[in-house]
Amino acid sequence: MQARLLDLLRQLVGELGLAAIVVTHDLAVARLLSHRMMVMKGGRVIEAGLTDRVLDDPREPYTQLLVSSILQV
Amino acid sequence: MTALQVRDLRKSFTMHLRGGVVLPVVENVSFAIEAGECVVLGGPSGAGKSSILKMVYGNYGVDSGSVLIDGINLVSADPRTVLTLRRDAIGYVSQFLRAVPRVSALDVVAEPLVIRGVDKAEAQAKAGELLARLNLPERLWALPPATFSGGEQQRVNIARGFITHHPILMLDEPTASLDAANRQVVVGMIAEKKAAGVAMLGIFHDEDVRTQVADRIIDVTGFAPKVAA
Repeated sequence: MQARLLDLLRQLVGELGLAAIVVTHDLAVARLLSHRMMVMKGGRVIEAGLTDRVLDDPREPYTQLLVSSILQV
Repeated sequence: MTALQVRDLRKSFTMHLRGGVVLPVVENVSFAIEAGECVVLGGPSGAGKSSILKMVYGNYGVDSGSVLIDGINLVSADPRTVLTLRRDAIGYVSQFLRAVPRVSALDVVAEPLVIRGVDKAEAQAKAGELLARLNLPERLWALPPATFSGGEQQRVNIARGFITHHPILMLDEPTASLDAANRQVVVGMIAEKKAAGVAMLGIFHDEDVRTQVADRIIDVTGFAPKVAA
């Protein structure tokens, strides 16, 4: 089910040119779907940028904790 | 014509979860690549070869320095500009395939063309040509690559990276999991890109492949940080 939704979202964005904001804890989903990423903590955006930059070279302590807390995505 | 100009890149990692320890990676990284030239990064594991590729592609941030493509400094450009550069100017063939689940190998390869507005049937035909050339059995084309062997996945990845006409290509060990026959196919594909004026920056551990494709080897140990221990 999740995979179908992700397929649909990718199609809508890619083929219809929709803009989408996805809220997720699933960083694998974030990597596959999103161009840009914002990391929030305590109601504030603490780090933002290209999705692969944020995930592969996180700068903020909280982002580093987040990325290191999951299996490799 | 200079396709890519790298100046004084410096990179370190600050490990906040390890008490803020700073790991210097490279410094004073400067080189230029001409159109139609294949430059190979040499040096032992851990010397920073992959980090340099990732900085040039905007995948890693940098502490200082610049990466100039078409007069744009990629390291200080906003994310949308970097995405535009990746669409139009700079491609990346990674060592491992990261594909959306449930998408067939043929569509994974065709996708970069479809994103650029090429007709889907035409993109799939081109994808099929590349997969056939890389000896991926046709019965696998309709399957998602997640269950493929390492070498099969790598060939899907190479086809995906070579299907577009980016003027600059980053190649991160694209032949690491391939047998000798398929390595030779890739060597031939790189030669064609060169002839078409593509500027390439690559990492190749295979000595034989390296000597065949490299116009020049840059020893990255020359970029080792000079810090007091």
